[in-house]
Amino acid sequence: MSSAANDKRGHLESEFQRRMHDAEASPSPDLWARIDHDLTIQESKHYKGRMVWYRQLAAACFVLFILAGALLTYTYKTTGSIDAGIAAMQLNTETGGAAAEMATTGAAPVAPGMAESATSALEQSMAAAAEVTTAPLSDAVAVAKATINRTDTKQAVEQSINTNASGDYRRVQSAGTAQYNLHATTDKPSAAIAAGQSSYGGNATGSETNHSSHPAAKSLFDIGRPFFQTARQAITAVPPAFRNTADQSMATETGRTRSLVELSQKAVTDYLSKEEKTAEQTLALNGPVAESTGKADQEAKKEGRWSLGLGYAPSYFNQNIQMPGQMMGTVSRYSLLAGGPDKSAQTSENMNEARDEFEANTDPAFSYAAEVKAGLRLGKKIKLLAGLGFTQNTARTKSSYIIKQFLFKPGTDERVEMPGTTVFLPSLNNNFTTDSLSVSKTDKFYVNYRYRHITVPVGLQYEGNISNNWFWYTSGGVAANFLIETTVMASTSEVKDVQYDHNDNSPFRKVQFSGNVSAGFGKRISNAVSVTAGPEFRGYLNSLLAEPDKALAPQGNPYTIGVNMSVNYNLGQK
Amino acid sequence: MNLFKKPKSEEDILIEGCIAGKREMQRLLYEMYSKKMMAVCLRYAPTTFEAEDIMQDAFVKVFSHLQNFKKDCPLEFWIRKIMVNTALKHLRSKQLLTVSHEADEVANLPSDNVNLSDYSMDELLGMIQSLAPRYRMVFNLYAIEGYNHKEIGEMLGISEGTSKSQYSRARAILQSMLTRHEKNYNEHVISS
Repeated sequence: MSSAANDKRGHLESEFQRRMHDAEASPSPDLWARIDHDLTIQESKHYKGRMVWYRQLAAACFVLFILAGALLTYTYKTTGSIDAGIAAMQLNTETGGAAAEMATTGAAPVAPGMAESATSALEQSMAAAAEVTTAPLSDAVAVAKATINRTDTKQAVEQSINTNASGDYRRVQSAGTAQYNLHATTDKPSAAIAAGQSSYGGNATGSETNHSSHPAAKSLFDIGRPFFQTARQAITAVPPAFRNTADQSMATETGRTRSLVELSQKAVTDYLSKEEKTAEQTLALNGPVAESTGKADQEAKKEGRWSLGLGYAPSYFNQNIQMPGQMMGTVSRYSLLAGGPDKSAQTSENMNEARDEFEANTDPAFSYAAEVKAGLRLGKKIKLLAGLGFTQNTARTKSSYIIKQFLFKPGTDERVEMPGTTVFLPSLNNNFTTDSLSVSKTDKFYVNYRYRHITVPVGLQYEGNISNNWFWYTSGGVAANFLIETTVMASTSEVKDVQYDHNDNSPFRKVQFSGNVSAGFGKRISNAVSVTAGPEFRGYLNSLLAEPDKALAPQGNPYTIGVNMSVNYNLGQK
Repeated sequence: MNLFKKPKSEEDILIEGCIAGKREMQRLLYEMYSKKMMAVCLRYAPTTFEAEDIMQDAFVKVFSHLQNFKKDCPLEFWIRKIMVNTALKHLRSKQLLTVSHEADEVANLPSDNVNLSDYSMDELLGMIQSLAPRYRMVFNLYAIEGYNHKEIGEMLGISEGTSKSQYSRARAILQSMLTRHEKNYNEHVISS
């Protein structure tokens, strides 16, 4: 309240100040009751306001939860429904249709008229089998999908066993296997039909011809032998009127199915895992298909676009605050040069030593950052990350000097001692605001500087595979850091702790931007869960002080160096 | 971290209790400072009722914002500052801080050599309260609180020069009152 410039005071001022400054007057007895009433009303309002805020927060969380749930449900339900649709369609259009027909019309009714057509179709089957060996990835996927149909087909076939007294069990049982070939040749449906027709006659020569003509064709024929029988049965079951257009209709159906299969890779992954044994058998028998199945695996791994991550980064923090070359000049209190507070030569010497000590003994201390991040995969290897975090940055000084400041009560020589401090806080201003000060040396003590921020990070992460389960990553990003608390704590009772909350008028910057880079290695624990670890550098783009130009101490940009560890969960993978 | 734990002073405990909303602690704090602060409010307000209104508002503010007290100055200074600011706000809201033209009587300034020991507190307070609001403000802030004219200008929204001129008028009025009071007193003594 006092001012050093307020020096033109006359006798009148002094007399009034002497009489009035510490004067006392009794307020009316009911004044406290009025204040009490006001406080009660205010607390009630505050409570109500807080309740409203909590209610709004709860409502916002609920809405956010519903929106996120709806988004996720929509994302995965859409894919799921396509898969379900495909499965149903395949059952109805291919297996179901054929098998049902088989079941109702008899499993193996050999139509004599078909024998002639089988001989001519044999030639087509040769070409078809050759083409099948170069079947693309979708064929491999279709192989796995076929297994779903097998069960239904088996049921249908079992029915056919019951209805057909002369049915051959081996032939009927293989109807399920036949579906492999039916799907495996989806790329060339007409050829598949042709292959089926070729074996319709039950001609062993035809099979042998295929075996010897092409190794791939041989393998297909090994698997496909039952198929031919079943296809024959299916073709037999087709009404004659429909038989002429069978090639065309089958091609149309399989073409549609193929496009949908490409959209439903997730379902395929599930089926593949369930029928792993069957797939392995297929892989063992057929090289190119095995290769394409591996690709399908990789495709499946790319499924989950969204991920959630929890990160923790212990680090060391350098607040990068230097000490000024000289804190102040020695000026007498009574001097006309009002350049600073009154102090002794010993204090000046101690001040310099305190300054040097701060420079030498200020070290980074343990700090940490904790973040929750959501990730969105933008490409095969790039992920966009955004989230919310908390950081606590700490630095520490080992000190042995205490600064005591004094104010003179206006118009009197009475000295009021201000709480003790260290060289740090005064260096953040452009001058001491007190009338006099002394710097005294004491036992060693610690001063802790702690800065707490709420951070909103955004960044990109690039990943590359090292092996099946290991990968490397590099990431970079920026973050907005909102200062919520600054504390300067000393381990001696002679120095007063100072704490600034987020809404206090503090010399520190309220919002600070930072950039961070990190690189390291990761391991996939499962398809859904992975862990990463690697060094991280986080540099702040501004100084800690809001107005560094006005501070005595030179201000650099603070930074942290630490290790970033995180656990990530990929949504949509099991 | 035990290293940084320090024993709390009585004032710290009192402040923490007030921040926590403990009414008995708030009452204790009120009783500690109410008399001094009432005197402050009386210097700024024209009447006792208004002074109590100011003090009521100010103490509610004290308890509401006590968590912002940084302990970088004595608590009494902080409370007094809130009292002064609340008084200024109160008078500003009542538009009492306009300049009046009452200082015609300061033509013959008496000497500066005054002794207030003979005056009672009520008499001195009465003199200050009889000043026009703006003069009363400037006089209180400069002569008693110890602000300089630059700070007063910022607080009242006037220039430093205006603050100086208003203060010199207020001072002259008070000197005139003191002289008149002394003259009356002397005449009374002589006649008796």
